[in-house]
Amino acid sequence: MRPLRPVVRTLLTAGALAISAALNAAPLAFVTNQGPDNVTVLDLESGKTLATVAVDKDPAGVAWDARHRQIFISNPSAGSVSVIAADRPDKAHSFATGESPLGIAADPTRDRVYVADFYSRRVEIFSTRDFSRRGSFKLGNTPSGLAVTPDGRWLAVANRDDDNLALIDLRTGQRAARIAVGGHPFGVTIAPDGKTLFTANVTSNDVSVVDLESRKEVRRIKVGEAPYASALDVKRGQLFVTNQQSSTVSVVSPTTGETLATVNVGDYPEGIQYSVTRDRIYVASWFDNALYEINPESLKLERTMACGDGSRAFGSFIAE
Amino acid sequence: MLRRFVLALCCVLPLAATAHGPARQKVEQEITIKAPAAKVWAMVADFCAIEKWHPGVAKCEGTGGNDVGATRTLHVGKADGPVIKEELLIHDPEKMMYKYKITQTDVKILPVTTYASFFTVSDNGDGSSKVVWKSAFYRSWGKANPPADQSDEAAIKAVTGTLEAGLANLKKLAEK
Repeated sequence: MRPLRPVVRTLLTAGALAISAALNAAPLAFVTNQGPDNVTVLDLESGKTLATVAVDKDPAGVAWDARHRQIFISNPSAGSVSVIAADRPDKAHSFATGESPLGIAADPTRDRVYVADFYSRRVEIFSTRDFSRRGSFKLGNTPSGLAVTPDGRWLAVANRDDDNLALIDLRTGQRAARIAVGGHPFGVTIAPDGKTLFTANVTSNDVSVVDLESRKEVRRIKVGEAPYASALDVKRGQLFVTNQQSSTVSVVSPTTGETLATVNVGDYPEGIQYSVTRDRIYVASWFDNALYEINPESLKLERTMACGDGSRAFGSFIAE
Repeated sequence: MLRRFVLALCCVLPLAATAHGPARQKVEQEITIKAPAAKVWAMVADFCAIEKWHPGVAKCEGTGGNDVGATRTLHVGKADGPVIKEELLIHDPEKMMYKYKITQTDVKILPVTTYASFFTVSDNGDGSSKVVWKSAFYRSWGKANPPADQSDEAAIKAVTGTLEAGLANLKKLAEK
C-alpha cells in the first residue's frame, strides 16, 4: 500500500480543496432550529439547503468564528455548545457549558468564544482550539446578546433584566462601564468601525444607539413590538430590526432616528444579519420556520428559504 | 384538559410578565369546520365572544370592544373561577384574524408568560372553513430547573388543552 499513499493523499487533499472552494464561493447561513434540535446550512447564493446538522436541545445562538472557519451553536436547554466546521458542515461536536447558554460570540482577534449564561450572571470563556473552559466574566441579570468590537478590545453584553449594557475590557478582564439603555435589551450589534453599538429593547419597543467612545446612549429609536435583534447595512447606513410581536422588520436611520420602511415578514422574526458579500439582509422567522432575504435597496422581501421548526439564528449566523 | 379549567383554586398568583426563560414555545392547532367561514368568523369575531364558544370560559368581561388595546377578563371554569386577562393586539375582519396577548395569568391553570396568540378563520372554498389558533409563549418559571408543573412540557400541555377544547367546541356549535 505504501506506494499508493502519496496518490491517496493528493486525491484527498484535492477533494477537500474542491469542497472548501465550493463552500468558500458562497456565504453560508447556519440557522438554529429549536424544534428538531438541528441546524439548517443554507447556501445563500443558490438558496439551497446543503446540510442539516444535529446538535443538542433547543439550539438558539450562533457565532461565526472566522479565525478557524467554524460555527458555534448554543443549546440553552442542554447546557452545551456545539461546533460545526464551516467547510465540512456534516456533523457537530458538543462541549458542556453552564446550565443556560444563549448569547454567543467569537473573538475576532483571540482563540476565544464567549458564552452568556442566561441564569447565572456570567459569561463563560472557552478556547476555540480545544474548547476547554478558560474562566468567566461576572455580569448582571440574564446576560443575553453579546458582541466583540472588531479590534478585540471590548466585549459588550446586554444585561436584559437590568436594562443596561456591560462593557468588558478584554485586555484586563475587568468591567469598564455599565451603560443604561432601553427596557430589556436583547440583541447587540456593533458597527464594523467599532464605534457604534445597537441594542434591541424588547419591552420599550425601541433601539438604543450607543456611542462606544463616550460610552453613552446617544439616541433611542422607536420600532415595532418586542424588538429582538438588529443588523446594520453598512453600505447604506440603515439599521434593520426584527419586531417579534409585529411580524415585521423596521428599517431605521441610526443617525437621524427616522423610520425608513417597515417590511412584513413571517411571525416572530428573530435573528437578523447583513451579508456584505450578498448585500442582502437575512431574517429568521421562528414561527414560520424560514429564513427571509430582504433587498436593502428596494426594501423588499425577495426570497424565502425553508428551515426547520422554530428557526432562531440569534447572533452572527452567516459564514463569509 | 377540561378538568384543569374547572378546578377551583385558592391563592391566585399573578405573574410578572417579563421574566422568562431562553426557549420560547409554540403550539398550533387547527380544525376543519363544515360551515362557511363567514358564519364561523361571526361567532368568534367579538373579542369577548369566547365566553360563548370556549367551554372553559364561564364569563368574559370586556372593555374597548374590538379595538386594538381592548381587554377581556376571562373567568375560568365558573363565574368566580381563576382569572386570565388578555389584550387585543390586532383585529382584522378582512383577513378574519385577530391577535391577542395574555397580560395576567394564573400559573395553576396556565403556567405561561409572554404569551400571544393568532386566531384565524379561512375559507376552504368548498363551503367548509379552517380555523387556526397558534400561540407562542414561555414557561412561567423564569429560572433554571423548573418544578414539573411549571416546566416547558407543562406549559405546552396546558396551552394545547386550552386550544383543543376551544376549537372542538367551536366546531360543535358551528356545525349545529
